[in-house]
Amino acid sequence: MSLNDLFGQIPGWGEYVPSFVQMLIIAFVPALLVVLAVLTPVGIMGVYAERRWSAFMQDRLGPNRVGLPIWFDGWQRDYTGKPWYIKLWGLGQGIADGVKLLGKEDFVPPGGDAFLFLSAPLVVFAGALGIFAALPMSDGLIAADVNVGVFYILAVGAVEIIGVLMAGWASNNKWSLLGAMREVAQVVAYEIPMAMTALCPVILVGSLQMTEIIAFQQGGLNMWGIDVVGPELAQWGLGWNLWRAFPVNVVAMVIFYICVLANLKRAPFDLPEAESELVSGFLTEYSGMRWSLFFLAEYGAMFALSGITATLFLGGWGSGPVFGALSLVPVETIDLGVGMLKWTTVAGIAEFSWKTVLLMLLMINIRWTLPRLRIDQVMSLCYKYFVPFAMGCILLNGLAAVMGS
Amino acid sequence: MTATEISELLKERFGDKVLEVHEDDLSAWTRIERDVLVEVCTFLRDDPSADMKVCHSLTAVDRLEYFEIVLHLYSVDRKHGYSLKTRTVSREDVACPSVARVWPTADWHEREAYDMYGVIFEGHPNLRRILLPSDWVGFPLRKDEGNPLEYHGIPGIAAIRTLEESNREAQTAAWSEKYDGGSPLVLPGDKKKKAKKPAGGAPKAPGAPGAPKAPGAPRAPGAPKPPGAPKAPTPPGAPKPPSPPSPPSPPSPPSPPSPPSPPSAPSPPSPPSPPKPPSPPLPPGASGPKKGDD
Amino acid sequence: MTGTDVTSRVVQEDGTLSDYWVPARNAESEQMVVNMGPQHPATHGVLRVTVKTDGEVVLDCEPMIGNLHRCKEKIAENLQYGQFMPYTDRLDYLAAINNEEVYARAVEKLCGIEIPERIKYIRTIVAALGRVSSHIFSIGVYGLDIGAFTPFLYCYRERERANSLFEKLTGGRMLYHYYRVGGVARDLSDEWIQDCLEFLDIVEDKSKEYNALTTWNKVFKERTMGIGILSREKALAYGITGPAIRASGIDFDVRRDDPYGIYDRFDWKVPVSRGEHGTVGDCWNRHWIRAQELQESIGICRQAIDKLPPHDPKLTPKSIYQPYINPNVPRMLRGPKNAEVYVRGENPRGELAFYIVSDGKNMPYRCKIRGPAFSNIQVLAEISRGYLIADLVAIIGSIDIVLGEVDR
Repeated sequence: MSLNDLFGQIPGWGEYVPSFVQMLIIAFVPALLVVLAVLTPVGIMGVYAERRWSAFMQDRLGPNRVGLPIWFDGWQRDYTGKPWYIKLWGLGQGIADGVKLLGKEDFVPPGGDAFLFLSAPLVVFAGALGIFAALPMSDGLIAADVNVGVFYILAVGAVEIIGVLMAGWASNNKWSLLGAMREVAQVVAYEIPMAMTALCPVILVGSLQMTEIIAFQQGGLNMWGIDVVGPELAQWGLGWNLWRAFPVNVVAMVIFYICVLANLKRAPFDLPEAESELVSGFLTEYSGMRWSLFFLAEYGAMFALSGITATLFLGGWGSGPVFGALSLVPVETIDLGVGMLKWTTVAGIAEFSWKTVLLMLLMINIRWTLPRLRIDQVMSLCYKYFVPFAMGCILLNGLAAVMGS
Repeated sequence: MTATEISELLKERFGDKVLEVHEDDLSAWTRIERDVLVEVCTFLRDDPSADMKVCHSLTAVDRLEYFEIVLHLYSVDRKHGYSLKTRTVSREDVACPSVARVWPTADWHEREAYDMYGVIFEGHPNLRRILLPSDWVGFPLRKDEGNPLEYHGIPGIAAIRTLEESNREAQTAAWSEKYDGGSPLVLPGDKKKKAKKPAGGAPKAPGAPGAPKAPGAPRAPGAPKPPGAPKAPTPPGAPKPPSPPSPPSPPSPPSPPSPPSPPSAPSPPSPPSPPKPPSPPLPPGASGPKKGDD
Repeated sequence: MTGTDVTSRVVQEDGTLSDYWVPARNAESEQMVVNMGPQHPATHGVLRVTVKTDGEVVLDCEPMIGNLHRCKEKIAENLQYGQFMPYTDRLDYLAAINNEEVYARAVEKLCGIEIPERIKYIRTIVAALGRVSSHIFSIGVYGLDIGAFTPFLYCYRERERANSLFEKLTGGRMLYHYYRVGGVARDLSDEWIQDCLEFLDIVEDKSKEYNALTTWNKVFKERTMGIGILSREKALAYGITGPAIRASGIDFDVRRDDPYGIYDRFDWKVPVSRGEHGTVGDCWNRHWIRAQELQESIGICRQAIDKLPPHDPKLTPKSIYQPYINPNVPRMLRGPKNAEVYVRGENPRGELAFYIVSDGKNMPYRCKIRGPAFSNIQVLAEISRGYLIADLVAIIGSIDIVLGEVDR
């Protein structure tokens, strides 16, 4: 059922609503749904996961334990004077932070460019949001299955740079400007190996479309011209692009994942907002909700790019242990009773989720373990190591594509 | 090398420019002519037997007639230290050659000495204030330097003391008006006054407010509070001090021919004495705890 | 990048690399003055550094100090000898106990006061513990400067234990006022000694964790090795002391070479950088010396506890309000007429020295405080020219200053 049909059921839709309004609504409503249904919870859960996970790593009590205090007199029966509280396993920290951020002043630094300053978080947010459009989360759960999916994601992900540069420039602060320049230098540099390693699966698949890439990984594994795994076993995850052209795509995935880290400005690549060096980089002058928009965007992009990594190299929602286990049971016969909902959708969500969450947790783990690199080290890592290795990966994948399939 | 050897070395090298050699078990130093300071320092640094590679500290001392510049030198390899002194001509002529070119570390130390004493180090590359703000007037460590009254609208300590005193007077007056003479708020100052009145017999009109202390004056050394003086009965409204189970032994009685100093805190028995345990409230009519009477 | 060729360095005649990155001649770039501090997270307090940069390359910098100036030397001239003791806590407030020790020794030398044997040991134990606590903090904060947040929290976990230990002994968690002229405030209890030994075991165990996360971490090494090289000559000329001078290859420790206390009775060594890792005098070596000194201090503390003589009944205070000191200390301390002492001691951050001039009164005529960090931070401009801003942060962190001591 298409959106046209769905909206067509509204009485008077065809007669009274002008066609361009129809188009606008059809264009915007899914986007709104994506924001409300995916990005916001993902952002909040990302923040929660980060804080809780880091609290586990660092023996911190706060984000690990904070609940909601209750200070009603009648309820406070504890003679030690401690307030009673609802245990929320640290969720209280997020709530308290949210309340605090909502209450902060929407501040524009004097001498700053107010328009650029206020719109920069929106641009960054839009960039993160754009990735979600082409993110295949399960069977049919993809907002726009464009035929240039990978290309689109790389392009939309780069929009964020503009927002960060706007924020740094408009803050009228030298630290912000330095942070923004670092961001531009770093992200533009890392776009190159990221795009090159994203091309590796594309060469094998022969398509930039996300669904094609997933469907290809459900098929059998042909390694260097030899059929190694048939389609049956490939359901278990042996058909992933990670295993194709065997050692090459493992390297490609590592490079892609590190480039994702760099593009997300997460430690050890958090130079644009390096707290101990540039105060907070381009975020120095931001406060309140605009500041938290940057963070929602960061966690949203973290989720989305983890999902893209999973799709490009780890079979996405389409294959893996969940599907492998389900192939043992004759699930095709199960009727879920809902017209639109296929069983592959449900299994696909599970498949997609564990991969994405695992990659996100790895990101968090790396962030809280490693010190920060220096800008020249970041650059030499990119240009001296990643670019040549990525080029080699492309060449070998081309060879593999010629030899096999 | 011992201090004697170094001073011998200096005497041998600089002759009558070495003005004074001092050596006791606490310190050893040589005072030299001001003009040859840089030469002496360079010699001490470069001479292989002296080898004073480190200028540990450079400072000034206000000797009332002149300022004394003191350098503490050290040799890391030979592990001996030595002090060098020189002095400015007078309090007005405060010039002294700079040794910042001999030891770069003297740069900041000289700036600090200038900041605190106003000694002008001639030849210093960058003689500015270092610790104090650049628009500060005066040199705070000079012995004749008083407390500033105000800096950019920030009141000095003298002004703050005056303000506190007047606030306290006003507050006490307001309280006594409200509570009919008995102030429920016992400020530390009030307590002292009440304890002082019967003991020292400070002649004061009963109704008149206590004569305010001179603002900004140091702790009045003239009228020390006699320890062990009977305490005035606590006013009925006042919060009672917590009574310990047994009356603690009174603080050491001040017998005039002081016996060999008792083993106690090094803090002297002058007015700012360490906090004593509060005396228990006395039953009415009972005499005070053991008086320090002779 | 920043219009400069940051990869080339000048090789000097003696084969060492110079500290300067060479700006490319063909690129036109604009210089910028950036104000780092006093509210910058990496300046360890209220240090302000004005940095002249070309892009991110530091061309010159100047530390501006004095934001925490309280004119302690003037205060000292208006207080009796014993009364100034709590003020010395505020000098290097991360190792307050070590400041007190130097001041107590200075006054004791001036007034000719002997220290009973047990108190000598107590002082050694407490000073070593202060050094452990301070170095834990320095190591953690240096990790934070480099960008690793977790080691800081790990170190702080142990520092909290040290704080609790001090609280149990002195009543203060950060500023103790434990030393008295001629002794200490109170005796060590057996329970406290047990706690202390337990703490030392924990720290010794956990210091492996710190080293894994900072010292031997690949990224950390890349960030700090070969950065901010302080040569031997420069270190001497600038009067650098403490771990920084030992990292520059100078085998010097006041506790051993200008002996005081009872350090000669213990088996310990002075860690000196010989260039096994990195370059002698770089940031990494300064950090590594601190990590090694942590181990040595644990050893000193353990040995002192082992050899701690039993309590001497003559020292028993008359009441709980009296300190645990030599009973012969006069109640009113007066220095001799026209005397002066210059006493220095090895603090965690370098040599703290007190220069006390006495005119026979009960207050010092002049009390000069020679703070180690004051001299150490002076060299910042010299060793950070030509590096990036990120390196400047690493260099400031490796010098390990405490502004209470710089500004006094």
